[in-house]
Amino acid sequence: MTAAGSLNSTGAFLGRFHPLWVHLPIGILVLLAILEVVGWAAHWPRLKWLPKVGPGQRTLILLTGACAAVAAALLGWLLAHDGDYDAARVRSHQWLGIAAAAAAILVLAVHRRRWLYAPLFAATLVLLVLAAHAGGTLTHGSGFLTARMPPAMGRLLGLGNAAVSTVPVPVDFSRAVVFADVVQPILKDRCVGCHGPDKSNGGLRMDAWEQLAKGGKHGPVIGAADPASNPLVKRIDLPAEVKEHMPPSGKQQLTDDELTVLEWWVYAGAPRDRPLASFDLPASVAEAVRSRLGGAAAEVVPNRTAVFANAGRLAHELGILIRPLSPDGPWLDVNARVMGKAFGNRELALLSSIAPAIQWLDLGGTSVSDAGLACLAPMHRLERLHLDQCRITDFGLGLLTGLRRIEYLNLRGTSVSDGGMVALRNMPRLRSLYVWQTAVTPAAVKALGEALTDRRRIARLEAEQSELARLISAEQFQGNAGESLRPPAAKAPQSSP
Amino acid sequence: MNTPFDPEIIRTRQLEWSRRTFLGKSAQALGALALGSLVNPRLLSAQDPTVPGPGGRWMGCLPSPNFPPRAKRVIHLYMAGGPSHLETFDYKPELNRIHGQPFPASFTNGQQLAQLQNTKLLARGSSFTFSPCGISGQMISDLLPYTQQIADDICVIRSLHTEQINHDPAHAFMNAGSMVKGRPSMGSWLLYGLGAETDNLPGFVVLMSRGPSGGEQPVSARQWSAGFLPSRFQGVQFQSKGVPVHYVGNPDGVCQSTQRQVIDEIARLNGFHEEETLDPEVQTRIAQYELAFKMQTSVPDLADLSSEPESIREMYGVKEIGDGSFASNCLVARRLAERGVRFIQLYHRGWDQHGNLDTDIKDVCRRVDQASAALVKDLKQRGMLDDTLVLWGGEFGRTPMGQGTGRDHHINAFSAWLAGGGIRGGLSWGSSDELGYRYIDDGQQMHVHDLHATMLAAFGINHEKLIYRFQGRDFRLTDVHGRIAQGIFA
Repeated sequence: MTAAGSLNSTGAFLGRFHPLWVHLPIGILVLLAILEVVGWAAHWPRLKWLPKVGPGQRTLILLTGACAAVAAALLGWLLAHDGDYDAARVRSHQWLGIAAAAAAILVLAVHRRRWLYAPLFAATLVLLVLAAHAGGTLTHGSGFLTARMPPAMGRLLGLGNAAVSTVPVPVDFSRAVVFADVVQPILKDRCVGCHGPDKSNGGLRMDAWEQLAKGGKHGPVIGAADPASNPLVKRIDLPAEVKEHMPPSGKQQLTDDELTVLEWWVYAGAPRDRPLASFDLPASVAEAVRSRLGGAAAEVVPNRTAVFANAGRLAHELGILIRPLSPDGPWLDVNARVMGKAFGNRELALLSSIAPAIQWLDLGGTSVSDAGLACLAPMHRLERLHLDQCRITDFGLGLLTGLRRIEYLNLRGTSVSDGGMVALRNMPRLRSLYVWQTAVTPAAVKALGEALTDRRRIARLEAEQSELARLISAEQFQGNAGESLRPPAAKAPQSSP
Repeated sequence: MNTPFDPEIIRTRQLEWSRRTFLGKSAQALGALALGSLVNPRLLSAQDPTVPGPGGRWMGCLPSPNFPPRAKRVIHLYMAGGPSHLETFDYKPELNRIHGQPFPASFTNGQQLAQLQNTKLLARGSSFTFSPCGISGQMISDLLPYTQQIADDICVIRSLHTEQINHDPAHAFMNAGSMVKGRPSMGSWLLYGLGAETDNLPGFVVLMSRGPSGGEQPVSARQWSAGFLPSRFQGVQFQSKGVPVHYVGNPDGVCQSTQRQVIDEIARLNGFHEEETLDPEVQTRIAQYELAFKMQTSVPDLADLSSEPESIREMYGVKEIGDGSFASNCLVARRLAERGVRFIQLYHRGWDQHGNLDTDIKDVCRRVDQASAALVKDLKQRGMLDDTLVLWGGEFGRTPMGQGTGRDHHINAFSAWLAGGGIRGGLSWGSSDELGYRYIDDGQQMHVHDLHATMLAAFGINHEKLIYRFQGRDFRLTDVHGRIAQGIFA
């Protein structure tokens, strides 16, 4: 390593102490300001018991404050040469910081003249606050302070709603545009903090499609011929322990939904302006997109007490079995099979008061038919549904398309056929389907399985698995002191406790 | 009809009593009230607006589950007598290698032995071959060719261990978690905790089959007793040969409506007695009359195996309908499960091979293998395996040391399998040492208490919360032990 190289690396090392060190001069000078204000108040007769700053103390505090400020400026200069920061913002922070340090020295020089000291010290403090804010913006991005500000306060300060509110506005699926409405919000939440206009680590900015296409130090992020080698998805997929994993450990990670969407987008060739509706989205992607676009439309949890009161009444009236399914939620297991043919469409309609709370519903062997299945539409929470040996057909299955949480569906011994299997493609979580003793062919079941299986996701998980296996083997110690080939000896039996 | 467990009833009755009556009956009444409140912990603390059941239906003592539930019913294929794990599920090439040699003393020193006490201990390898099966590659004996076919649906546990080395106490330990008499069996606990999903059949049904010799160890009825729980929670044994329940039909000249009138009148008279004593056993009596009346129609329907298609009967290997065989019982078990029975226990005796192991175990495997596998497959094609927990296993295993031409009782390691009810199929859980003598402490060891805790967890029950106070002490199925094997669930 050359002398210059070593100096550079030492400088880079020291520069990283700047964010820590800056608090020292700020603390010292603010403390002096407090002491001065208190001392000034002591001139008032009733407060004359308050302490006053002595001339020697003032000199000492100003001397340490000014020295610390100069050191902070020097460290900041070293960091500016090393970090990936926006040049314009670094410049403004740099000059404000130097000005603050210079002002501190000036105050030290003139502090014995009272009439000059007070205004100069006040000006120094103003410079200090401005420099500190510029530094904070450099690290956390602009708008960090106001992002969580209550809207009322924002209006009071005249910042306007747009600058303050970060709640996403729900977008209609049919009118949404791929990049602007779906992908960009994800990047904005998870990436732009470090890869944006304020701070562009690795020389990469991710705040606009063009910037992604331009790429950073390691080349473009989108537009590569082989999506499998795309750095965006690859970096996110790496195990969290690996240094190259993005977002870095400690930062907010992507949710499964976000990852699903991002991955689909990269594989689709990173389109920009195409409307979402023009794509034939796989079920899992469509689900993830919908849940993101829905914005604040969170699931409504029914009131447990009210649901249980209704459930108790219905169980008595209809003779069915209703049990709670969770220790504290309102979710219910409703078993109408116990009533057999005595339970029909009319009885099913009576369940409307508890419909949003039903998680398991057993209608097996009841006289419920196609017409009754319309009553299931409000049961958004439904996960297990038994319709075996009911008088239902493909038409009835078409009425179930809104039930997006279904994991288990039993259609054994019904009149459904291959045609009905197409409707089930809208159940992204379906994992167990039973169609024994129906007209459904194995080929139709296989086709449904293909449609509901996210091959890409499985491939991704498998890649992750092999990466983990590699990491595990890298962690394992293997000692070998040489072996010779001998006939196997009788193993010593394990000692018994 | 109401139960004594219904808080409303108790409260109204308390109000109805005059001061004199109250003083006159105070001892009796307080006792009964105390008992009533123990039966139903909700009774004196009605803070939880739980979902009550209609009529006399027992909805269980638990207001809501402790965890999200997975299973709804259990079918326990009870291999009574102690099946040899070394011939069925636990492949031990090292034991085969030292066959005939003295068994290493380091294993057996100071250990409890049954009939092999003070004899020379010789290692005995298995005469049978094992194969890796299914995608999971679980090692299963070639004695069980049908079970080999469902290898990917079952979770084989090879680290089971128990505390009792003789049949009757070991059965009690497997069923009730204690060898002491008067403890409730696991079926009774489950029924007490959750109730059943049927009004027409008992919630806990027992069937028994046996080998050809007829000389097997008997299994006493205390194995399905409700112990100190109210007796309405005890197991009901059905006849496996011929009619499941004797004298269930009406005698000549009595029609159903007459029968209904008789039952109603008896219930009214019993009601007077119950009001005076508040004794839950009178309520049990009333409930049993009602259940028996309903069983007059439900039992003939249950027993009518002729409605099963030929293909299904062939799959189970049923030769003759209602012949009392294990195959026939498995088919009945599936029909009981379909009708909402909570706990179904099928005993098959004939696994106690102290001698003639090689010929006898072949015979008993042939009798249970096909039907056990058929039951799992049949439940699966009906979509019932997702919420039916099937347990296949005995009360203990057999020694890796030979006893003449057989093996002795062994408690330190034995095997069983679980399927369905949210259990991960194709999993091998726990293991024994290289000679199959003792379970390995690798976090997957499974004491009988652990098995009970895990089974209750499949129903969303925390085994530490299912409690009944009796004679001044809180009792649980798992006593003060039990560890849930979380990794066993999918």
